[in-house]
Amino acid sequence: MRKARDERRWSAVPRWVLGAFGALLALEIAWSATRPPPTAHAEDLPAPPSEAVLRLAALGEPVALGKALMLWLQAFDYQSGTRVPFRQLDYTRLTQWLERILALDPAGQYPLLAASRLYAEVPDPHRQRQMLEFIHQRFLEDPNRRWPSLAHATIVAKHNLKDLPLARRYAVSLQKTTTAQDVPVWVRQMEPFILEDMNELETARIMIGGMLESGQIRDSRDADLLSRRLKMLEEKIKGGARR
Amino acid sequence: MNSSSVDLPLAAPLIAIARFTLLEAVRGRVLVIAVVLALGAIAAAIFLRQIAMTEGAEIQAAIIAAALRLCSVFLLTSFALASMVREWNDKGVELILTHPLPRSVYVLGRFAGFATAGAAIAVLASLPLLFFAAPDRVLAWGASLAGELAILAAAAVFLSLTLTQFVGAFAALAAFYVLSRAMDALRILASVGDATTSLAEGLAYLVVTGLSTLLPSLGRMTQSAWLTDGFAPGDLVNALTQTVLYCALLLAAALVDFYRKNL
Repeated sequence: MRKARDERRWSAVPRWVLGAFGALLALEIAWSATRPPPTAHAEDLPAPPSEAVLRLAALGEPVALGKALMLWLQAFDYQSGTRVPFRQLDYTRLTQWLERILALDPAGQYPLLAASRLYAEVPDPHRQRQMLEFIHQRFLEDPNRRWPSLAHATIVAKHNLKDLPLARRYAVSLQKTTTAQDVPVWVRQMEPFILEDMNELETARIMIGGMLESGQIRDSRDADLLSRRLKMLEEKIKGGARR
Repeated sequence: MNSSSVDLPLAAPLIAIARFTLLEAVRGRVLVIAVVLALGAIAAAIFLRQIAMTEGAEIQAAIIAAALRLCSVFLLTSFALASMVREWNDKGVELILTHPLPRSVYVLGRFAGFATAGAAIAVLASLPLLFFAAPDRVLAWGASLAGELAILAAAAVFLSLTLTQFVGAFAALAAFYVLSRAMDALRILASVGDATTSLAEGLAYLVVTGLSTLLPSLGRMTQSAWLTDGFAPGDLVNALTQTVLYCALLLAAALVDFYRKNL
């Protein structure tokens, strides 16, 4: 038995009402079809609001807002179907945004990882240096947590920018300021290898010797690797002296 | 026998009112909507994972938790306000008050029903987060959300009895919630001053400080950061203490207003 419904039949609707509805629906569809399709145009990265305003907008959830903003910032190069190369972004504003996001979510690694793996790898030395320096400054605020990004920045400075003094400066920062036990030993061993590339063999030899003597190298494989490196350096120095 | 001389144990009618409130939530599909929200959160989390370059689980946990928190608050408060206002307009309140019961039984019974529905919503909202965060952190977050929803349930009871109109009560509750969550940031903004601080800025600081002493600090409850960075036991204790204190305060205010109503 059909359940009784609290509705009248379709025939109770006046024909002019049905006709008007059909005609208006057809008109709306026709009008939508004649509208021009949306066009995509890339927008400039806007200047970020102040940290205080962002904290207010976060309504007590700064970490969640920070992470959401990071996803938005990361996707900024894709806008309405067009691709904006990173090198066309205003890097001053970009670093400001990354600073704000770090202020909202200090424990998050995403901003500095994006800085070192995405924004610092653009083929524009000026922008690269700007981003690497930003990473270095932020690293100094929390070295035991943010060392991975500065380690990558050191590699970028050495291999991409081919700026060995800059790479050495970052390596020295890593060595002097990271103190946590869970920081890998190789992070604090970058400087001697950079010195070797800079042909400062004697300084590199002294550094490696000092590391081995101080007992800070606890892993036997790391100690073996450094000992072999020390012998290679000594042979290079002797070979250079004979010439 | 005069019915007014019959002594009814107060717990029984209180529980009955709470039970019917919960039944209303079930029949009104409130819990079904909470399940749909939880499933939607899982779907959103899958999308977020695809676009996040790193810290995928943390991003999923933080963003989904913040969204679930907001949706849970909206769901419970709109249900509580609609239910209270509808019963007021349908004269259901007056019908209940014809029984030989203190008015407090009605208020507390309704609150107990809404708070129980809020706890159920908190459980459903917490379940998806188990995929992205440690169980102890999710438990703390869920307990805090249940407390937050209880505070808002008490506020909904108070405002609906005072204002008796849905739109006005909803606007007042929304303002209460937004101010309570943003109060810490507002206090920081208002406190930035030096010797050149104007009278207006000083007045703003006084107003904000005054409000902060009256409003609960909801910005320190149910933090997404508890899921990503861990929580201190003191955070949870503060959240639960705040829950008890503000629920009691808001219900006391509701009782003062309700007892003064000429029904």
